[in-house]
Amino acid sequence: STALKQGHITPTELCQKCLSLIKKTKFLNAYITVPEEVALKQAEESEKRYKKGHSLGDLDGIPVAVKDSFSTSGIETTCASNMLKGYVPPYNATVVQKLLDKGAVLMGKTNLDEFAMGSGSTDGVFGPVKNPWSYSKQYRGKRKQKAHGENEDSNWLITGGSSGGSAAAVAAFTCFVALGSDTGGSTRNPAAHCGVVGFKPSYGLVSHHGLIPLVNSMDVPGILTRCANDAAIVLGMLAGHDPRDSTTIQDPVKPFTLPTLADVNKLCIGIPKEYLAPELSSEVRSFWSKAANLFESEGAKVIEVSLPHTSYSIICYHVLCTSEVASNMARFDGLEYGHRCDINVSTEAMYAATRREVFNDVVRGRI
Amino acid sequence: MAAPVQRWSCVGKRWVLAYIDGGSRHGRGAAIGFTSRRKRGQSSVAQQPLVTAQKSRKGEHEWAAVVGLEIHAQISSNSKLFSGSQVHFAAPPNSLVSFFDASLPGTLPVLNRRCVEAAVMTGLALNCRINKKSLFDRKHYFYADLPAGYQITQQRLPIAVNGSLAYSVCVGKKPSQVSTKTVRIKQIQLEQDSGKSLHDEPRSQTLIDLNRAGVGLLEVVLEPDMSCGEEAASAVRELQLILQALGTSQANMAEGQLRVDANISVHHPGEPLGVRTEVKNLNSARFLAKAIDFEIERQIHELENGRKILNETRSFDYKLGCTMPMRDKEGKQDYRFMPEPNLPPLLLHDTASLPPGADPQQVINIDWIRERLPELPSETREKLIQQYGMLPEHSFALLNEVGLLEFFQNVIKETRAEPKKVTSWVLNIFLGFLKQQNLTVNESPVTPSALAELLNLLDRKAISSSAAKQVFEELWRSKGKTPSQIVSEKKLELMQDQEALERVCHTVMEGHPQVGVGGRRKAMHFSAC
Repeated sequence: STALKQGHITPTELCQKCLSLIKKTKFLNAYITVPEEVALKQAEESEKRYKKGHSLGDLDGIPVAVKDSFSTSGIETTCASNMLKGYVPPYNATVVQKLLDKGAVLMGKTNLDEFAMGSGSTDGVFGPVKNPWSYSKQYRGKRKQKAHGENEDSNWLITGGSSGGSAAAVAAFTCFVALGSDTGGSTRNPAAHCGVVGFKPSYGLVSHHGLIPLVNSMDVPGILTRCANDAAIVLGMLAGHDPRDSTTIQDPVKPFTLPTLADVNKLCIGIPKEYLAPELSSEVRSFWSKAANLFESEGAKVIEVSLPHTSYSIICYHVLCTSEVASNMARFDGLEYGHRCDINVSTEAMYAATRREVFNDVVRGRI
Repeated sequence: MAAPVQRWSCVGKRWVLAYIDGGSRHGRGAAIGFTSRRKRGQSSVAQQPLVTAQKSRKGEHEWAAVVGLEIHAQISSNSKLFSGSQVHFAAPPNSLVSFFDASLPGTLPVLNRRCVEAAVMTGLALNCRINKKSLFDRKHYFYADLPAGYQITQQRLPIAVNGSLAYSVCVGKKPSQVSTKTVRIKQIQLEQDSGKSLHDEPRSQTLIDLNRAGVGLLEVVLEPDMSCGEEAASAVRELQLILQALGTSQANMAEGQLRVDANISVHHPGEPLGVRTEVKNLNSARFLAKAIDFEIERQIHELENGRKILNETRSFDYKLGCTMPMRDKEGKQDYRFMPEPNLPPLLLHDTASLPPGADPQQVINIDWIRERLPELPSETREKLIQQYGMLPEHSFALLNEVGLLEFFQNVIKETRAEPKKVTSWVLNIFLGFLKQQNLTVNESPVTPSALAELLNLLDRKAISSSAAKQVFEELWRSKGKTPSQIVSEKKLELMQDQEALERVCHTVMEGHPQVGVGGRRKAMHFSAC
């Protein structure tokens, strides 16, 4: 944003660069929809504002991407499902509107697991998302060692999910901020896989109006960026009460900036002992220790803490998730919007056939 | 089966079989009627030999019916329960539908304050305990007029519980023989209305209008304390009057603002309750009692013939006058109730518990609402009785017709006539004319002032009562004329001058010498009254 403000680059140039990069990295399959004309128009508007010296802030002219489970007015929103193929919402999700109000330029809607059910971004109808790191020198080197004449195309890494497209988009430099959603890790998981920052706000801090729900009582919009400072800036813009979402907290949110953490002496960091599960890979465990040691050596206090209900969490999650999913998916009947099959015999038959046609196995399994 | 005509009559809470054609009592009854009826499997009455059957007949056939009601009243508000779209009757199809009502994915419910206030008012008027914390739930079922596939309701913890509704029923043949009964109110809950389905049979399609989808409803659940159609109808009527007095619902059954479902079962007194059926969507005050009574009779008939009652849902066919099983509702429904995750618990306050510095737009104070409750029908009736010495049944009649009470009160204001006279004129003559021509009070050609003037004339004995009735007829027919005008036009004034009267009488008597002394007196009386 400094570059934009100082005129080193214009929003239109930035937008065009990102658009061409998206085209070049199409094989990643990170984007489902790229509304080029809309993006260029937004960039143009941003440029006008900068010329007049009336920029809307740090996000003005910055390319962003939004997971395809957020409603975007006038732009197709599919949730990577046949159910919503061709569905163009008439309204913007609150967080999308907030980004646009700050001048962000929407690069496109990113790929995901169908209806956000999954942790690999492999189960959407538009195909899987490939992790940009699959094409890194290191990984290519490893592959050459192992594979003999294997098809290069089939040897790639997953992005994690369900917000894999968003994570890949950020990691591939096609945008600076991406919105994902997080219910049971769907922003943090792909962030870890793709080496970017994935932030999950506390439930109630950021409005989920317009986010096509998975589990209403746990869903939150997630923020993916390349550095923590960017995530903090975006959080400051998105957090706060939304009269359209009754679960957002009423208290006003004070704007904040991340402190520059030169001194970690005052930090007390807890390491949950229950997370040291037998299934944890040695690679992850060693990095975890490394990070803990790093903080300790710099003067922070690192102690062991207990989160005693950890072992029950996944079971509770499954029960709650499947109940809410079955409930939230009940509206997809083909009647008011979305795909409808041709069966005319009876309402029940039409509902059943429509839903079988458009939901994939994962979705139907959870219902 | 061939049997003498019988009718079940509701005497208190018991259903007693009474033979109507007494002639056959000694004839066919024993031979045909009873032996075949012995087949009912669950009866605890032992088989009786034919000889003694006639004597114990009355006791064996006692049935008690138990009726509970679920009443849905559309809340009178500008917008819907969870969305901002408007509430209007008879708007063009699908013109009052917000994104949330259409169940567009990602939309969320936001609670309407007016609807909550309406629920609290109604709960207070019905002597309920208002729950300071209540919760919302989802009730799932698939139907084309339910876009989201679930209805948001309050199943676990509704907004008001444990109230009562007092109503009156006729216990004898005379209208003055009324007794007050009470039905307990189990709960009042807030919930969404569904859209409307219009079945287009010729084209094998169903048209859906979502204007009504999401409108706020108050569901009032009445415990099974009623025992027949008449009691149920009276209770519903009283509830209607209360809702209208509060302004929380217009409760007009014809416009679908008040819908009643009845739960009906029968059993022998002293035995456990029988299997109940639900009769749904009774939308007419006229047919409410009929439908319930029919269902009671049907159940008794089935059980008498050894068959069982199915726990099913039925609808009432107005044309045929009978209940029929509803096709789509066969089998028990699992609604998979689940807490509504998008709505936090609804917290209400009273003056003592109001959080300091709270935004008045965001809190509801129960005490504040209680202090401002309008006068309820029972209070209004009591006032009429106290103030005017009115008979209770007359106070009921005045409140029963829309606008009639106001009309009555306006007449009272402008007339010197005794309140009893006014009551009699309003309820008998005025109301009689309205009913004859199927008009509402608002459509009446006679204004309260006109009637007041007429009654004043009557009161000062300027005209006779029969003349007054003639004047009234004329008032009804021709607008714009005042009673005094009509009286002078038609020369209906009573003669006040004593001498002139005597002269007339003499003339009459001279013309009719055959009329004797008694006749003279009668004649004199005639013209003086």
